[in-house]
Amino acid sequence: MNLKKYFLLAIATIFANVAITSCSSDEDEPEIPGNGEVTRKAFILNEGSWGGNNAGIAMYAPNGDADFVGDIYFAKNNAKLGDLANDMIEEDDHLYVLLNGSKYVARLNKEGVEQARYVVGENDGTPRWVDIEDNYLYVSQYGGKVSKLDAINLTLVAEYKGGNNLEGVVVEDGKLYVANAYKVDGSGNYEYNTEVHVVDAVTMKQVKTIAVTENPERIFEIDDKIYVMSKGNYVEISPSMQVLDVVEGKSIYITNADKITEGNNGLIYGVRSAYDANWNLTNEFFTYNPKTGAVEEQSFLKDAPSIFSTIAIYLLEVDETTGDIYVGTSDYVTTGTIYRFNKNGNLIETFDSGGINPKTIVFVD
Amino acid sequence: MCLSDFVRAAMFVVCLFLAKLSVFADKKEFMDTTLALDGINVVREYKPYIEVIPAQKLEGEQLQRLNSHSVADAVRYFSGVQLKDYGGVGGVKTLDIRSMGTNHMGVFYDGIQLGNAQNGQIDLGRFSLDNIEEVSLYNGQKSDIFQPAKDYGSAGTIYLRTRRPQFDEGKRTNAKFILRSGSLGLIDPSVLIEQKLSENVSASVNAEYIYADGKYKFRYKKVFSDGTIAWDTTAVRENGDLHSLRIEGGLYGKMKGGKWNAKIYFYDSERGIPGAIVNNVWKTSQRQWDRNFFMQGAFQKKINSWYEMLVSAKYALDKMRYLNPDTTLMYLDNRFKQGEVYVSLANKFKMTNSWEFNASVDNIWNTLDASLTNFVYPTRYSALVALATAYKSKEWKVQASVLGTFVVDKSTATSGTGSETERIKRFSEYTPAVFVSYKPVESFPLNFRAYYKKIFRMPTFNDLYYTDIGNANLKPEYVSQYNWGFQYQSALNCGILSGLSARADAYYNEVTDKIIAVPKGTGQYRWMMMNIGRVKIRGIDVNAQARLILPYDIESSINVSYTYQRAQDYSDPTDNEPGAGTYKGQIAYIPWHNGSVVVHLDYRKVEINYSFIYVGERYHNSSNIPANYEQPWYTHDFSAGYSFDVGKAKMKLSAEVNNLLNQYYDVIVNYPMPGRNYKLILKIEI
Repeated sequence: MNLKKYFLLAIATIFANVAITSCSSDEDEPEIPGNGEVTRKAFILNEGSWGGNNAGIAMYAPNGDADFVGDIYFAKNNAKLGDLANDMIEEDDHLYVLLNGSKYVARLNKEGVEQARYVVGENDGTPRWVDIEDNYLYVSQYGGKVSKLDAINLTLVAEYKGGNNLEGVVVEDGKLYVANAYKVDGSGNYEYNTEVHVVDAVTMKQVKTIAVTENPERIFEIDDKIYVMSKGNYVEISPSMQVLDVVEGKSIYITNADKITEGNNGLIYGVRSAYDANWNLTNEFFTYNPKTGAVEEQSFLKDAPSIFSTIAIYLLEVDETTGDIYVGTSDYVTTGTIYRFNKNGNLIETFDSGGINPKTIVFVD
Repeated sequence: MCLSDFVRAAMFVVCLFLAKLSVFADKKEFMDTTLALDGINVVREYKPYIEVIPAQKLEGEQLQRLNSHSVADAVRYFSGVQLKDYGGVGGVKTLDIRSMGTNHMGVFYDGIQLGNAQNGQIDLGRFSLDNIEEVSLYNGQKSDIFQPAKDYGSAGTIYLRTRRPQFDEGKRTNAKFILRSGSLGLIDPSVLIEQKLSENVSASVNAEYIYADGKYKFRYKKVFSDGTIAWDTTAVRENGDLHSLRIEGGLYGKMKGGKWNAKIYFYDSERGIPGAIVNNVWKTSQRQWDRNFFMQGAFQKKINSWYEMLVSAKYALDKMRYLNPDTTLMYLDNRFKQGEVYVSLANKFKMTNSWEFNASVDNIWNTLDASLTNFVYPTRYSALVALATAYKSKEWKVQASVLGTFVVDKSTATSGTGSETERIKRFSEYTPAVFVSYKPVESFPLNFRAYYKKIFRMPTFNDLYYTDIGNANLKPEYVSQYNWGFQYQSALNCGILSGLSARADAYYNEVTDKIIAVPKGTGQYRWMMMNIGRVKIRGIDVNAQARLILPYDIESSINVSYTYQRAQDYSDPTDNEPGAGTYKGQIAYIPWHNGSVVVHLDYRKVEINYSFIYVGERYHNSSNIPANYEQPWYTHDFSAGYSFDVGKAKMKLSAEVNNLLNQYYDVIVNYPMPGRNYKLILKIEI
């Protein structure tokens, strides 16, 4: 082979390489959907792992008119969201996201662009959950604080101090319901509290407390009723759901449950997780009818994959527009999986959540 | 590993053969080459070895000349190991040998294992190289049968041998002062005094104080495997300070047919715990105090022509305080106290000139006390019995051993009503090991070797009993190792080459019932230890050393190491999505390729040292997806030293530049390592 032939061969090889690599990169990099082309968007909050600085927000188009984006926050802001995202809500086409490890609250537009940020003070407890009403955000924090923030520019307006490590918060009819979950003494012992604080949303003063089962964590407002999920003490007291009798100031036990979500049909869907003697996880899905008070033990998911009985159910949400049920699973170390079911419980599709520990999903029309 | 790598390895072997044949038939292949260096007799490599498979070693001057602050820095130059380094002076540094996990590494200090029943981890960053004469790494176990039963009980072992006093003719006292200072606010003075008490007994005292503010600039930049930049920030590492004081004393004696030593060790430290660097959090405030004390002794004597005994004993007390002053989430002020008593007797019987037999019995008592409510105050009594036999002929060296481990764990559970119940758990197991070495041609210094070893590690006290995360039902974690390799070592003298050695090993390890933490429920950071991991590791370690005599009185030595590892996670067969699932994914932090090069140059009173470390691409998770990708890193370290005499004192002044190209990198994700840093060292010997 003479020099010319070598040269031609080299050129041909380069072209072949370019062709191959450009093909594969087209497949690897989904196009970031443009503004306004997508009819509906769902945003999946991936919590990430502790100390991993790997929380993110994935974007998914339920109508299939845009490609999935594993981390829309990163794509739009050219920065990582941070460490341990704990909660995200949607209001007026905006997203509000809480970072538990990175200790801040951010407001994003529906394209995923950050517009404002509230950084929690260095000596303040980490933010846990958020609710919104009348253009004010209410952010519960560890260390016994609820911060009231202006929802547009995220400036601190007022705060409530009380309790220990506060978890879930909802605002309903001018009152905040805040879960006073637990505290840890200097020796590392957990002491589980048994109260929900009721706080006036205007004065940010405590109105009263309502006794609940040990270690209240999430609080939901569904059809004007306040449901409290207690995690129990990890020994003999199991996680359970209760409904508050606000007037009487008491809680009424409904059933053992780890996670619940509101359907768009007046029903509440739930999952109950327990460990057997060998520390293997088992899950049971159930439906609660608030009107009849009946707990239907048959799973609302008709063709759930068999893995659902043993894997951690990290996310359970319903798209209130379509009634579709979204279930997110996690092995805590690798990318989670989202299963989308229709309102009858038939599996529509399965996809990667885009990050570790899919925590919640919100929909923007 | 692709075919071309094999071809290259094969060619390398062939070249060695050819080189050897073309030079001369070396009759004195195991010749000691002893060089007189500054009055200290430094025995260089190519010593005859009695083990079936010799160790990777760093010793004497070679060890002192590495740009190393602690044992942790030095062991990075061995092949087949990964140092888990959380960065800075105070960050924890543990060693993972052949991807079996840091808990499988046994660390022996002057022949007796350093214990940590609480978490099984030995922080190699705490052992100064000041008084260490030799660091050896053994895969499997030290294949010399005359040793305590504990020496048979780890999947891999590091031996740290402290300096035994040696005196020049007519000298009764040696004194050595070292002062190091440099980046990260380091001030590190140390003193070593050795005294000859009688013809057969000498003593040494060594003290070292280290202060470092631990502050260093780092640039935090992450690039995904597709080239996009995840983030890019420059900041200063905070809360990485360290104050430590170490005092050691030793007595060394010899007698007809025997020797003995006794040591006392004290270490006291306070350090900040620099946490993971994550968005918006640049400083953590956790602190840790450690106080370690031990005294140990060993007595070895040949009683008659066929019987030799070794008695070892140790008492250790370790205190640790951990403070997390975060009052909002979890204020913690925990104190832990561990105690250990160890007694061992090894007996070697010489059956014939080529056949030996050894029986060793060790007894170990461990206790743990913690300032935690409902703590179970565990105690562990372990009896280890090792039976070993060794046979050697001109061609063969064979060793077989079986280790019986008998463990009784006791814990006291306190119920909600305050009543106490004692829980006793017994465990026993027998594990075998076989080591073989074959030398096909007597006059040619090439050995082939192979070994098989099965061993396990007991769950640590933390795994079993730590409040909330402990799981008292844990089983031990097992490792099976298979190794095949060869070693060529020769003191050949041809042209500029004055010594050459090369070794290569291929291995297969399987870890089963691996103990890993799994979260229990969602949120609130509750974890649980489970026996669910399974890892298969296939690897190749290659190491070559050469010594050169160059023109103009320049002497040089070169050491090259390379490791290839495929360490796959077989824990969860259901997580098998191609390219993303953890099943068969490369496990966290194990690069496929890593290696090092160390070059020393000596010109009269001047020495120059260069070292290079390369760690190839890795993932920080067995799910090998772009988000978990970690870039390769490499560091170039330089040092230069000049020796001179002032009166009777021998002085040496050295300067070090580490990470010359100022590469910013992490060993553990979000724990940035220091960029370019400097050190100045003054040594005075009287």
